[in-house]
Amino acid sequence: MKKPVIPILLFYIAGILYGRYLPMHLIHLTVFIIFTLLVAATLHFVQGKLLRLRFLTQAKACGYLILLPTLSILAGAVAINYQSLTLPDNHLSHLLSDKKVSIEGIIYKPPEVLENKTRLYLDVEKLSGRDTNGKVKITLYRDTTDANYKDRVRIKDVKLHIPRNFKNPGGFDYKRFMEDQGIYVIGSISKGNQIEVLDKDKGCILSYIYKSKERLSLFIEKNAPPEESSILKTMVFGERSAISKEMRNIFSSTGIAHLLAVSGLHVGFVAFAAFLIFKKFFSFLFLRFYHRLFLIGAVQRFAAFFTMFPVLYYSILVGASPSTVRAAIMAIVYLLSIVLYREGDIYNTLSLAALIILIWHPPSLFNIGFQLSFIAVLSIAYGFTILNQVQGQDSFKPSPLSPSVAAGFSLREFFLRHRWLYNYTFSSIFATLGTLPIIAYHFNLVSIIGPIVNILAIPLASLIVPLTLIFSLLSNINEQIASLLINIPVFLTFILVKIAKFFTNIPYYSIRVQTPSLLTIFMIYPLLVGILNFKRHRWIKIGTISICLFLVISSGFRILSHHSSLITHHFLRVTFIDVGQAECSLIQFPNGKTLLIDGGRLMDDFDAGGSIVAPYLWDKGITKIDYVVGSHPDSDHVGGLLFILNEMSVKNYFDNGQESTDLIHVKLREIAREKNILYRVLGTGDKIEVDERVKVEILHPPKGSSKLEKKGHDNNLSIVMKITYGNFSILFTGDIEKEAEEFLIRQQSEELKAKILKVPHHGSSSSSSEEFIKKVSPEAATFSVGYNNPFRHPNKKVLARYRDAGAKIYRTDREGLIEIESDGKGYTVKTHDF
Amino acid sequence: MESSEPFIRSGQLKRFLDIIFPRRCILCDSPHDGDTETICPNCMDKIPLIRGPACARCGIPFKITYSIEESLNYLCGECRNSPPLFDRALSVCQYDETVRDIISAYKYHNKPYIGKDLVSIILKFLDEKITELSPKLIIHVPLHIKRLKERGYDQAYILSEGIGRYLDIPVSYGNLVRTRYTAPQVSLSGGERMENVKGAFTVTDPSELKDRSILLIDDVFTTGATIRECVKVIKKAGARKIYVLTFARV
Repeated sequence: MKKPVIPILLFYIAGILYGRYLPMHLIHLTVFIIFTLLVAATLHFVQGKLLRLRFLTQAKACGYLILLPTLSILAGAVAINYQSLTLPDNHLSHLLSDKKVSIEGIIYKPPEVLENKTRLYLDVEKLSGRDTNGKVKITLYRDTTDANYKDRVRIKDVKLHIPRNFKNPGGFDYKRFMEDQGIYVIGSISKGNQIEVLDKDKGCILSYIYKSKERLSLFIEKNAPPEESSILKTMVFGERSAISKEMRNIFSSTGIAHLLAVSGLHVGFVAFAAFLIFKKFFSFLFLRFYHRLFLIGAVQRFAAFFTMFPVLYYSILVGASPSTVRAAIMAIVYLLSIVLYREGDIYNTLSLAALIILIWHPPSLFNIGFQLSFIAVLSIAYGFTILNQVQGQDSFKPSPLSPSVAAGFSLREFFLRHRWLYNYTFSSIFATLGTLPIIAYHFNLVSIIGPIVNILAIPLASLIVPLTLIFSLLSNINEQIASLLINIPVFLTFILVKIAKFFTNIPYYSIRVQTPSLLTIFMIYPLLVGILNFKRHRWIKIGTISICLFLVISSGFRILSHHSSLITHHFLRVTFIDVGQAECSLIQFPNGKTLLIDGGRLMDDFDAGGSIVAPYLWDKGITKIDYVVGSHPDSDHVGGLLFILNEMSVKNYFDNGQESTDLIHVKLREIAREKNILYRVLGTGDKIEVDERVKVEILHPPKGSSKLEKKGHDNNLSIVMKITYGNFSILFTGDIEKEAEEFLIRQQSEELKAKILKVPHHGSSSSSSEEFIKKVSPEAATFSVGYNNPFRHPNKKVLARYRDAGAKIYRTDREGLIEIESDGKGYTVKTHDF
Repeated sequence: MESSEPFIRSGQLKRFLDIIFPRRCILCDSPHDGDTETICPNCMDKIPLIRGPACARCGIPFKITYSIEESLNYLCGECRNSPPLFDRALSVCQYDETVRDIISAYKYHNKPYIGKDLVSIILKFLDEKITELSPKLIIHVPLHIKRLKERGYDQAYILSEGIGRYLDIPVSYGNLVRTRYTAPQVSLSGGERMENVKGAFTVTDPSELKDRSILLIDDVFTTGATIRECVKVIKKAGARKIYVLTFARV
């Protein structure tokens, strides 16, 4: 077989997908496999017997062909479910209650220190004195702790719970993401003294390496200017808290934020540098003392062999995160192929690395980092193969580590002399192109300036990372020399920052795109390969053309159905997106226009706009929003709008006009001005002309109210909006309380009546007076609330009031996203409880 | 580490390695499980072996269709007119497209392990002839130190070590050296080649070569300019007989 590992890997992946998405069918699968095993065995037997020796090998091959896929698929399906199938009875997740508990266990991973919180990963052994097991993530907010890797600790008064998802279709599955890391339970504490260290770590190689990191980063801090040292500590040692927000923004706005998160790329830098250094070292050694070894070309093998150690060391040093361990496995498999003189097939080698990783940790398949690093390396390898073919050169695959001797290369003189530049440039281009569909899928981002900045930044980083590592390690031997030499990477970092700052001034560095369908992603890679090999074979031509046609037709169909469903069916669709204890409603008008009221919360490092609302919109194929309304300047209502206004194309932005010193509020108006978004203040009597069939009226706040000049945020100044479409009507109330309700009852009594009421102020007891409910007399009431929220919204009495008034109740904390669709006559409500 | 032979040769492990790091033919890119590491049996058959009659001195194959008695030691016209300095030159095959690809992969693509296969091909066809000549020392046409550093290995030395180990003949290195950096011969024509390598080699320790019969090894014999220069200095050092062995010749 040409590349024996590739089919095994593909079938194994198929098994993982099968096991994940169809776990109920596992039994059927097993039956299927036993059956095929039987068939295979009989075939083997019969054919061997009938045809005797001559065809025995064929029978064997036949058996192999049946056995291999089935066994690989079965292995994949079992591997992905192994963890959940083998949860013991006394597992932590089975022992949860609402009470505060104390847990005892060992920290199994170096704590992650972030800006204002620390994450501890605990292997729990005792829960309030009871024996148990299971991993737990405890977040310590706004305090620090000296608990460290491998310490045995007791954590008091912690409330444990199962990770919860925001229930929006297609949303990020946080619960599963945590489960894939073996964590079924999470909790949080707010004081460092709740953690009691029972037993210090006894010391093993790993904890020794982790501890040595502190010394190394201390050395950097002492010998580099603060700005550079913070970047170096983040970039080289993965101390995410070290860097300032402003600096991080500069990096992310130019598309090089990935350099700040230690990943496979960084391990690659270290591997590359270590290989070069060892090569130089052994060249020198052998030329001087062991000439024979040099003559037979042992330098390369020695260098490859010894490179494995720094790679392993570095991947452990930065915390042995899955991404660095993956990269280490990849690097080691590749280096082994050099050591064994079997570097022939890069694809097989890559598949082997992937297979090892997926056996070690099957859920890696669903990890963005895993997908990105393999696609990137694959595209680089494939890109160079194609490039060589195009140039009409020989068929020898270039290995990324091969030296720059290549006689007979008819490249332009410049690139011949600067082959590293050529390699860097093309690697960067290939990696960017190859990862583009995946990035578009996960982040809805197509970067324009990103690749250019990266071509400059990656070479710099590839020097900075290993040099910093070497010089800070040197500080253990001779601090004086090291502190002198560290100025080299510091200077390079300085240049890197300069480049990043230069490019931040260029606008429109990236485009946001709607989420491509999974099918498109699966089609686009074969399509690329097909186009590049178009002339190879008749079937490739047919395949490529048919994929092309399929994509064109399906995207055409998608666009058509997307618009036609709105235009021809005359539907008004109102969606309450689950953003936890906050609010966000999307209205799609019959003519296809969109209106967004509020955008969820912005708090610390959680941005509902970027992580829930925008992904949902992109998923729905919405990249443009015609009207954005901020009901009132509370961070749980307008916080998420910052991201929306910044990253999406918005035509109009409206708010209640309150003079607020609130940062978000001011910022939103600023962005609107900068991006030429039409800004208007809404007040009683205003109408928004969105669709001639639909009436959008503003009932509140009264124009020119003296309260609007008062700074701060007043719930009773929330925009109240009524949308009417034929017989159907819905009332949006923001966070209004009794005062505004009474005002409305007095002034707009007739207008209040609506089929559906978005319950004011998350169902708080300060709102939804009986009289108000009576005036609105809704058939259904929707509550936008977070599960187990500290305000205990919705209030039980309020709920009872609605129930008594005969309204059907929908809650985002229970049902998730709520979607109401009306054709102007009746309406349907769909929820997404899953 | 220096030689993976005992490791790879153990059958089971080799079969396992074939799965995780399969062998692929350097020429046709197809997988194979022949005896060789890098060249599949199919491509092996494409190598134009020199089997027919050839000059008894310089080894150039005669372009004749009839067979002649080998023991009669016919010489080619060139060797009759101006006999070369060496006593005998042997090659396994002619230098054609296939062989050019093998040699260029071997020399320029950082694949020193191809040498092992070339050695086994050489030994398969020339084993007896070399033993007949019974050289006492093997020496290779060296690379200039600069080229050697670039390439990372000396392709001719790998051949000579393989042959020396198999036939139990001592292998010398570091004695014959290329003292002048020269342009690659590939890019030059016949006359220029001669000029290019003139005085490029020296023998550092003549006593090692004195009165011994020497087997000089290189990968390709093209115009013989490089070989001639080497032979010249070896002769000057007092070698009794000089035989030349190359994998391919024009």
